[in-house]
Amino acid sequence: MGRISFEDMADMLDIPGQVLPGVPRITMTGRRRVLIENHGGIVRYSGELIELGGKTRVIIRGSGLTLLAMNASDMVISGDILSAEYA
Amino acid sequence: MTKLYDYLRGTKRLEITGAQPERVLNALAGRGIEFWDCAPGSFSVRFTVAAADAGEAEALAGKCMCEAKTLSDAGGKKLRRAAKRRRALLVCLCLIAAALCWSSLYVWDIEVVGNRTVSTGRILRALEENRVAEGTFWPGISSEMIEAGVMPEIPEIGWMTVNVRSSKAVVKIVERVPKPELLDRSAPTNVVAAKTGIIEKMSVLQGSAAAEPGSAVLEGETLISGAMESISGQVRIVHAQGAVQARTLYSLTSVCPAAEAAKTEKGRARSRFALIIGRNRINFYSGSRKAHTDCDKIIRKYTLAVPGAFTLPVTVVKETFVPYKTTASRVSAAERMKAALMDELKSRLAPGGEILTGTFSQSSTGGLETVTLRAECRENIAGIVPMPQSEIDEIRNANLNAEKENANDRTDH
Repeated sequence: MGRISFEDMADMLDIPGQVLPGVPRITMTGRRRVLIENHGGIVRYSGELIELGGKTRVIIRGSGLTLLAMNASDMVISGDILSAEYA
Repeated sequence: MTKLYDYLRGTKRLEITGAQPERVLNALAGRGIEFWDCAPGSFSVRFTVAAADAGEAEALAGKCMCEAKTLSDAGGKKLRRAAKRRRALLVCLCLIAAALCWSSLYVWDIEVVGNRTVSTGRILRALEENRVAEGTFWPGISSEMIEAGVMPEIPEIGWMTVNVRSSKAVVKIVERVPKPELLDRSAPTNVVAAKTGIIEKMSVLQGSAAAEPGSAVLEGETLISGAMESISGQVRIVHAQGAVQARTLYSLTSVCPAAEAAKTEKGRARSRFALIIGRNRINFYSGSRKAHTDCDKIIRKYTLAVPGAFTLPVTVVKETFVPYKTTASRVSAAERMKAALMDELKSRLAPGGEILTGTFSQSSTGGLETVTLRAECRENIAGIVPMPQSEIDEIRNANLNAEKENANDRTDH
């Protein structure tokens, strides 16, 4: 039996995922703006790709990506967003 | 507003160059240093920080093995240095700011909202009598005092309040709802025809039907009687109620001159300006008492204000005079009469009534235009009226006589 992650435990116990530590929450408004909460910092940053670290890695792809605002837990990205992927 | 705030406190545009400039962004976010307008480049990233945080940002860049370069700076110290050289400008700005602060303590614009039947002018006059007008020192205004002063003067107002924000007083009015007429359900009544018509449907809630569907009734004719026969054989007097749907016919006529004057623009419009400072008006023209006949006068007022921030006691008034000539128009008179007749018909219909057919006929004699509207409508013609005292007495006497006869019959047996 493999290791049970926090997310698996949360699913079993029916606990909402947003209360778990290190689980990013992504809110997309249309295809021009995305709010990411509980991010683990920027790993890669270019106009076409923003990769965020942490337990769950998130990759935002698009064009003209700009970091509008950022603090230790939240960030707002704007641009022509193509996809949000988990790595 | 945010940009102005940033400009006043001073900002710096930095460029971070290194193998991993993203680390600097993470470090800045971790330290709680605000940065914005972040643009990536090749092994570099550009962003803007507050001038006070620039030193710490550069130090963090060094720790992350990156090089920080200041691209530009705006506002802040630069602005203060420039202001020192221009003292007169600084004094003027201070004076303007002081004037704005002083001016914001007075009411320069009053808006009345929520009134439907009471005119705005009447409310403004009552407010002025209670010392609320343009130029009033608003910290001295008390909603309770205004209510106590204005509401007895205008009894139609049920509730009011005055909110002052940035020299603009918003007077919110809630008008009193008239007390509904209470229906005395024990009072003896009849239902009569409010209009002449042909009955289509009757719904008797209480009382006895005095007419039948399909019959024609005249105005005032009893449709539902308040006299009902009881099980004991006597006649009961009740409060007659019901709905009677009938087809009604209307014939409305309107007469007016065959041709009426219609305005058409003539020549070029002229404008003139005036300035209102507080309560004083300065006209930038002469001959203000000259009557302008054959002209439409359009007045537009522009108050100097930043909405939501402040209002200045300065209003620019633009008066535009549009000359016109009048020509006789035959069409507009007839069309106006037709519209007026239709409005009149709608106002005469009972609530929920509908117009089934309507035709206009038009004739012209002796320079007068006559328009007649003949319409067939469907509406409720039931009208509740108190039962006449003579009818009540008659029913009571009949009941007494019947009782006596019954008593006699019992004695004979």
